[in-house]
Amino acid sequence: MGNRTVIPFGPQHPVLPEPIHLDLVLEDETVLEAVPRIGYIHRGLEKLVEKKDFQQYTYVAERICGICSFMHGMGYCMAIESIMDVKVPERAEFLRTIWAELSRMHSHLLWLGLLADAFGFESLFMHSWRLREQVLDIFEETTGGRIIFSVCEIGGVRKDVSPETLNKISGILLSMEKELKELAKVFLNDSSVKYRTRGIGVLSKQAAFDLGAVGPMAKASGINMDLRTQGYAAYSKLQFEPIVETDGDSYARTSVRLREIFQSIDLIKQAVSIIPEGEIRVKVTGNPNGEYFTRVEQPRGEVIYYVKANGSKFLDRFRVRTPTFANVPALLETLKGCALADIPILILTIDPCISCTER
Amino acid sequence: MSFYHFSGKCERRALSHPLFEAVPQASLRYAMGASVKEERFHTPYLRQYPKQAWDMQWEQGRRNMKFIKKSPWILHYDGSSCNGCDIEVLACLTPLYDVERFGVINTGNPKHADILLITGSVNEQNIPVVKQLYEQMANPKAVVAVGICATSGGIFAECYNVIGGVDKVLPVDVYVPGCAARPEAIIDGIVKALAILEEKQNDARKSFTLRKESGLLWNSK
Amino acid sequence: MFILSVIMIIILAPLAGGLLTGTDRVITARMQGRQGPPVLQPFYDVFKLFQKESIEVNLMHRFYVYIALIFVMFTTVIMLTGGDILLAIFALTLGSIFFVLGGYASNSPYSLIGSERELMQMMAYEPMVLLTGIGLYYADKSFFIKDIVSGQAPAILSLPGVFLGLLFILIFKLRKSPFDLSMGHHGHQEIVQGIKTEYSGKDLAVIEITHWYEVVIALTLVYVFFATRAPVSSVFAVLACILVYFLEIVIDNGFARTKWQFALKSAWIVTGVSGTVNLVVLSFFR
Repeated sequence: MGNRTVIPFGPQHPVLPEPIHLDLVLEDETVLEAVPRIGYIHRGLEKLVEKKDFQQYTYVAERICGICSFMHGMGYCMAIESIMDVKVPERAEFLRTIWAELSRMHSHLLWLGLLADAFGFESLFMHSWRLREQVLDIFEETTGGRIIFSVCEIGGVRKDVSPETLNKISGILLSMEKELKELAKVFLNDSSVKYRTRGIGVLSKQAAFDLGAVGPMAKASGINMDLRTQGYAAYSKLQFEPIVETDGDSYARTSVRLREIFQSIDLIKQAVSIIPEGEIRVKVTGNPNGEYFTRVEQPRGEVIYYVKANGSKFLDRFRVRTPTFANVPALLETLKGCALADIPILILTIDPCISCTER
Repeated sequence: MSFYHFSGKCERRALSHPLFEAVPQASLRYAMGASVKEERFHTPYLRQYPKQAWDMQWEQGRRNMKFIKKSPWILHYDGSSCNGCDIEVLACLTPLYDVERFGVINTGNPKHADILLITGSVNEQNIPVVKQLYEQMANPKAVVAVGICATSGGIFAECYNVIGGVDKVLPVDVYVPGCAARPEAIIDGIVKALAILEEKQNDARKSFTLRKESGLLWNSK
Repeated sequence: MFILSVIMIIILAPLAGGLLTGTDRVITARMQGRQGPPVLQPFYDVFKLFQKESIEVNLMHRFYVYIALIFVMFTTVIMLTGGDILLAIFALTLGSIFFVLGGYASNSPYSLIGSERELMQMMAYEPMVLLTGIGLYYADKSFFIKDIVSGQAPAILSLPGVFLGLLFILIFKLRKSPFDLSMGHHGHQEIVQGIKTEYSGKDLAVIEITHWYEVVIALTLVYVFFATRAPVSSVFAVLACILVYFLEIVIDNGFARTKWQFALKSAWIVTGVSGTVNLVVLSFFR
């Protein structure tokens, strides 16, 4: 019977970018139980549909989360377009795909930096975010904003990208790929990184399936599930294979996300080569009437948007089910019996976006 | 409880400002002094002082070698924000913007920090947390509200759970606009907070010695 | 005369330690692709901390930090005036124990865990430090540093294994990755700042100054291995100290933080293998 202490972890903590509170019952640095308390970011933005009309609500939907901002806007617009039977022009679909894949790259690089910071490897944190700045420069050049760029609207996209800029993007990504390969080598082969991530937080395939894990959390445990194969936006015209690993520990999740970055670069190159000319938006008139739900593959997993409209310019209901929400039971399962030093790493391997979860 | 309204600076200007180029330490001090001095004179709070008295005070302050301007330690807390401003605050520490040039360290501990960077429109559950963080900090301290959500609630001002900005809970010193606020603007805000910190230290030097507090402040409610 | 040199050591050693810490931060920043703070930044930090308010949780925890500073000053004076190395090691250990007691007195869960980890670290590196002292006696027949430093041959020629072990545990003493378990230098730790959590203002400044003295003590230990009677050897010894410090910075930037089990195990293995084997081999030559 060792000495038990209760540590209040959060809501303000240096390794956590977002407030979440865990009461950890520790016995000599081994966690016996973790009692979570959430609700620090709940803003209640789903009720804003009553005050902002459906065109204005795109901006609110984008600000559900700053990291996955573009795809939230895209999912919302896709839902409304499906209700109103609006056919988005092809060039807009391709542009949306390019921005979505760039979003995925920036989110994964951000996550890699935070993971390196969590186990004390500050140099990797600085180098990952330095590479990420190049992606943000691409965003700024094409859309004007660094992380929240309101470029998706109902009926298409708001800004066009010229062919020279597209070629420039390909060039930048090619040079990034070389540096990313070096970064990937450190994350995957360095002995101290492997010591901190191998065998930590193992989630078996059956447990991942039962607990409903999504995204890289599920892919690292062997479940082959990637919503981009459903073919929304321009994904039906691009070729790719979902990335799956079988180990189920933190090392596997790091590896899945790293390989997804390379996959995104490949997808963007394909999209740039086959993007057609044409319009970038269609005019949308009238109000939506009906209900629909769409699913989008965000960097963190599968997001479900449910929209219910009743013919007026204010929607009836808007509901988002974010991937972190689905991954939290899997997180609590992996937290049992781990050491205190592993807790930041375990919380980070589900890639928590608490502001998405609590909206 | 004075607060200085950030007069909507263009963020790009900050990049060409001498402050952000690689300057040797002496001209860095001058550059910091020059920008803050002119800006502060335009605020309504300071118009009550004649300009000569203000210049004299500034010169005295420079000669006394206050060090809080040279080593501001920040504490960053996300008070119900969407994360956009938070990742821009973290981006300030990274190589492209490198705020450690000015001696800024991101500590996670309120007792060590001088400047509290709050993002997000605060929600009901966060009010006691934010207050406790502010009380735990040692004097002199300054609060910088980063982003339009922390200034006034932003796009979420009409939500039911949002109280609409940090200044409903804490005395805020600098407001940094933007959604998400750019790193250049955040650094500009920190630099303005430094001047305010120095003024606070000048005002109440004798009372910043020892504060006794009771054991564990955190009550897990 | 002796009093004068003591006073000079007490004043100049933290200045040297602070400059070394400042160059450490600049070099670390350059390795990470950034520009880094000015070299005098640690001094600005300490002066700023003196001007801030100190927050006291209870009567005792501030007192321990000042006692730790006094013991560390005592150790520095002994080492730099050529005194008894074993006395220096024991005084340093006692100072660290007072520091740990300060962490326990703070009564916050983070400083409790930080103190436990600091005790783990001490268990990890103390055998090697003692072996260094004993090895130096074995090589040069005296515990006094002024005798070791004025020997014929540098001590490193007969104690290479012990020196390697000393390099390994300097990572613990200088609080660098992979073994910066108990007291984070810049935050981003799972136990917030560890032992330093409940300190602020003057007490935090005193902890910083204690760390500067410890840097000087650590490098003096390295110096002792290289200096001989010839005056030119002191140049080589200082150069060796600078190279060792640079090596520690490179190691800091190249490794993630490990857990306490690995830290303890690896330190004892290194002590056992390189330290003991060296002494056993040396005994065959004597």
